[in-house]
Amino acid sequence: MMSLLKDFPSLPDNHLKNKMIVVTEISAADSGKLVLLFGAFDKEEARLLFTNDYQVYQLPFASTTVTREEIQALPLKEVGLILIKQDTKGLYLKQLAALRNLKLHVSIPIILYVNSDIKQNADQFKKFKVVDDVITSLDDFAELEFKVKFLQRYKQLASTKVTIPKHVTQVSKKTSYIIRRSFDIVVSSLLLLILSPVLLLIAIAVKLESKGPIFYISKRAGKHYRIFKFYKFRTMVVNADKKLKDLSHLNQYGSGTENSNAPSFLKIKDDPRITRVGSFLRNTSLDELPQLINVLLGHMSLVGNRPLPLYEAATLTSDHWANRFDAPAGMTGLWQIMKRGESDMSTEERIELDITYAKNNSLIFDLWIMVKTPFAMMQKSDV
Amino acid sequence: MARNNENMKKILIVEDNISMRYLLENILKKSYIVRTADDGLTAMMSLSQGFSPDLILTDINMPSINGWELIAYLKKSALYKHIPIVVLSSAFLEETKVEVETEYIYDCIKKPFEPIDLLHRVSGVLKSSKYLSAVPVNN
Repeated sequence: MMSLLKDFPSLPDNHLKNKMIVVTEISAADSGKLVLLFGAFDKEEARLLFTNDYQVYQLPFASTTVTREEIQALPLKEVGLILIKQDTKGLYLKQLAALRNLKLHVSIPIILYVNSDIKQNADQFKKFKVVDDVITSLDDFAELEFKVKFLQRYKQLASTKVTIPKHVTQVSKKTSYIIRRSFDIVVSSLLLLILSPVLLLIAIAVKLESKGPIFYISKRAGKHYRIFKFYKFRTMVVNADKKLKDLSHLNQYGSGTENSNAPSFLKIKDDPRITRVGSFLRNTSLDELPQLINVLLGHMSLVGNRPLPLYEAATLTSDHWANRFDAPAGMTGLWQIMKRGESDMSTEERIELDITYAKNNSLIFDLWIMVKTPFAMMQKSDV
Repeated sequence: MARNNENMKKILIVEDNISMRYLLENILKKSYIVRTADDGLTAMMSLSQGFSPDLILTDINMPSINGWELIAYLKKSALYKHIPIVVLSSAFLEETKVEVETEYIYDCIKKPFEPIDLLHRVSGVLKSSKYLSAVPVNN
């Protein structure tokens, strides 16, 4: 079927005109891979391909259009590139669209060769989704080969990516999500129900002691940096954030300079902004209970990483630290059960713990942390 | 910001880290039409399926096809070389690479980054690239 034309440059002129498709082979790196030429390549262009170490094969097509049968008859497994010379009628492109549907050959790059200035036509060419790239000259062979190599690799990867049975991993992920979410909903609503008298008493106490709302609502970043409204019982007087400036001279960590942009790690002994009820709630961690609402609403999970204030989350936008945000935010977590006892844990160590949790995230691990949490809390109240 | 869908600029985010991808999408989706890809391979797939972004925001260290490979190809391809590229990476230590590719990159944002800063710089590149393409090329 195929015949090797050993003496291509001396072909008779009418040879290329009559034969619509010339098949060439790259003899360099990808030996055995063919290049299909579609369209009326003139003798000079074909000679250019030939002088760049291409060997020319010819397929016996007589008609001016290619039928599907003729395409199927091509040795497509050997083809490494399809080069189409501009055709205004889009005849070959239609054939190539059919070729696309034969899944076996999706990894062959298809490059359109045009003479016109393609800047204006780029959008038009993109409509032919069959075409991977457009070239305007055959002179720069290094560039053509670079493109072909990249496209071959890309299309090879793309074709294998499609064949991976995606639903298998998706199903297991989805079921584990459903189990956890149901667990969160059931436990958080049960706890809210059981604790409702306690919550009500706390709410009344907060309301009675100082003016202001029952809840302190702040914005926090949870799973995948998603921002949500984070609920706590209010433990400070209203406008505590504004009063912070007036108290800066009491800050145990402070440098004292007012204009310093140093990280805002603030700790004040016997903070006067904290109310008496607030102090009790903080010591018993009861101020954290309204987070059950966040859990019920799906912002958080019972177990997870600590939801971070936005300024802190913004400092953790690097590849490594981003991993901590792969896990949901939680009321309790690895950090809460590990840190008790050793009071000084650096921010880095804490985030490493978060990443450890995110990587070992499983239902069993969560249950283990939940069991450990009450003990950790008892240890805390001793201190 | 234009809320009108037709006037909104389109951005392709290429980032392999899931959380980072969500973050970038959330920062940009209020002002732009955003499509995401989890590596250079899916970015190519998105482009070849007809998505034509006004800007590509890409990470460098990624599996399959990495950021440098993607940039090197896009800037040679007649169909895509006009699209401005912003690199978002902590991998700028490979300085030799940066020298080679600088001419193709409109901006480099280093991780960790401040979300509002990223938004400003992306909109800056979009404004300047619009201006550049409106200027007639000499000769």
